[in-house]
Amino acid sequence: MAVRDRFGLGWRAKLALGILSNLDRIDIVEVIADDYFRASHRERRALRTLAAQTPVTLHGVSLGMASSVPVDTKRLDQIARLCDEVEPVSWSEHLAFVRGGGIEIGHLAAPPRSAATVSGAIANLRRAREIVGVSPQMENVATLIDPPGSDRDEATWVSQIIRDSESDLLLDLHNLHANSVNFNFDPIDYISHIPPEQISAIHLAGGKWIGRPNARRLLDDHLHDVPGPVYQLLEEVGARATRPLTVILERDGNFPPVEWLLEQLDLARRAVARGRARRSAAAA
Amino acid sequence: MNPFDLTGPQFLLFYIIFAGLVLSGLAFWRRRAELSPSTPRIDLSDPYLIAFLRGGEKEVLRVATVTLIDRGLLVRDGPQIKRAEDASPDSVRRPIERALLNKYARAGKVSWMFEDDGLSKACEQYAVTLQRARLIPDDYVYRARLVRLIIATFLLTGVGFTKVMIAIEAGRTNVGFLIVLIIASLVIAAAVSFPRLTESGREMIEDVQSLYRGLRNRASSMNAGGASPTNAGGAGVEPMMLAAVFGMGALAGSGSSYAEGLFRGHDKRRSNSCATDGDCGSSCSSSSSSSCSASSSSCSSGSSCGGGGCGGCGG
Repeated sequence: MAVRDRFGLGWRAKLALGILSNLDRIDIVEVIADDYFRASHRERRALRTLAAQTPVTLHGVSLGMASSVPVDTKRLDQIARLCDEVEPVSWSEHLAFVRGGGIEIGHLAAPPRSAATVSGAIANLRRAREIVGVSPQMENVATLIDPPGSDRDEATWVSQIIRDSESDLLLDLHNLHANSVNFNFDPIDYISHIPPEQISAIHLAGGKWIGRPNARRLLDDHLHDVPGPVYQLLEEVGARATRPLTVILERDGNFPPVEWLLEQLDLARRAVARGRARRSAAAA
Repeated sequence: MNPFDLTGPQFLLFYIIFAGLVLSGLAFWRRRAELSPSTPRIDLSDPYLIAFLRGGEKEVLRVATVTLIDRGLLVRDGPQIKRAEDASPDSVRRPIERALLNKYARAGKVSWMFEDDGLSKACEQYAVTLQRARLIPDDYVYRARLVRLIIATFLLTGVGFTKVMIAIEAGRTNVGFLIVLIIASLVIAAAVSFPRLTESGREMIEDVQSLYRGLRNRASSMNAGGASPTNAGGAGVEPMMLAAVFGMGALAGSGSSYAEGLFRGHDKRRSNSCATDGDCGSSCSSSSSSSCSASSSSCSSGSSCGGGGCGGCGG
């Protein structure tokens, strides 16, 4: 049976009814894994029940994989147990660090893009694969500052990690869009650096402009609609990616009617379809 | 040690422990037998199906009535309800709603709906669906329960009445306490053997309450027949689903807060503090009421952000 592209929403308690009422238009649901690490047996069982209704993918936010500091084995055990219980179709984490020197940053921070963080991330991915049994899809993060101590651009750094670790990339297109406008690089050029066979998942989100008029930054806040350029990037990925894509629309608050979110998913479907059509035409 | 050689009070203590073990084993056996190895798949967006699972046929009728009132198709008239002048049974899709609109073409007491065979028939489809999913007992489950009850009855009466016979043969007649204990243990055994839901059904309603906890947290912002200001869960169905999942009591503070009073006194089996496998029309407590949903802040638990205060999500 041919595997097709899948389109879904991030699971949020406020969206529960909207999601469960529209499973004919939602192929997959992404659940934040960390919310269930200390959850009761009953809450974890509820997650299993959700996974029985629709495919689920787990998304971690606290492992801190892109760091020269080894990832915490206890946290990997937690996600391994959750994967065993829920049997998600995949799991993912961020190419970010979230703690250092015993201090929790409380944020997905972009690490210095250096040989040390490349090798650290690869080692952490290896440990994750050993303990969980499956490699996570790794997600690029947005940053408002160019990480100090970097000696290479983001596309090079990301592609080195996923290529050498043989992991898949969860390409967050709004993070890419935000970084490209904040640091003035071409996002298409970025995408062309990524091995197309290693792109397996996409995040879509929205953000807002912050800062003074002459020093504005695009903030990825997950509170706004997906902007047009992100759909253009999605079409581009659809034209290049060789594998089926899992496309997740992330919305963390300021919720519009669920129908509005579903329309954004439809826009995403059409963008990927356009990209796939381009790919087919080029192949023919 | 032969327990039948024990003195009267000693044997009573022995029998209480024995009956406790038998009843615990009976409950454990039933739970194991009725727990599906795989999680059943049902339509979790159907409020009437959820209402039936949580509280049975009467709960479906309560939820449907409140929904029709909120939609303006039924109107309250003191202790009675009736179909709105401009409402037509053909304007609704679900059989239970149509049956209710037909039933109340003329004004009638709320309690009438609980005695109407036609309305019961309109709920049959939910029973069939839930039986197929092994969430409420079907004939096979009933038979298995009966077999377990017969075995427990054999044990409880066998041990108890053996001692009664021994006592009578010895010329003693003070066996009243033991007979009371035997009867009580049989009553408990019957109750333990025949709950309304299967174990999978009990877990399913708990899971549904956990998944829908976000609804409960914002009941106060729901308007009757409409959606909450966030409007995030499907306009018009939020109060309906809230009532279906948590009971009429959960509507307190919402635009449909009249609902609990509407049915008060009309169904003696209702309870305000129901367990999840009983008939109940009121506020079942759900799992943790804490919400993981994000507020207007850009980063919070439950989001894909990396934690607390930050300059955007980045993830």
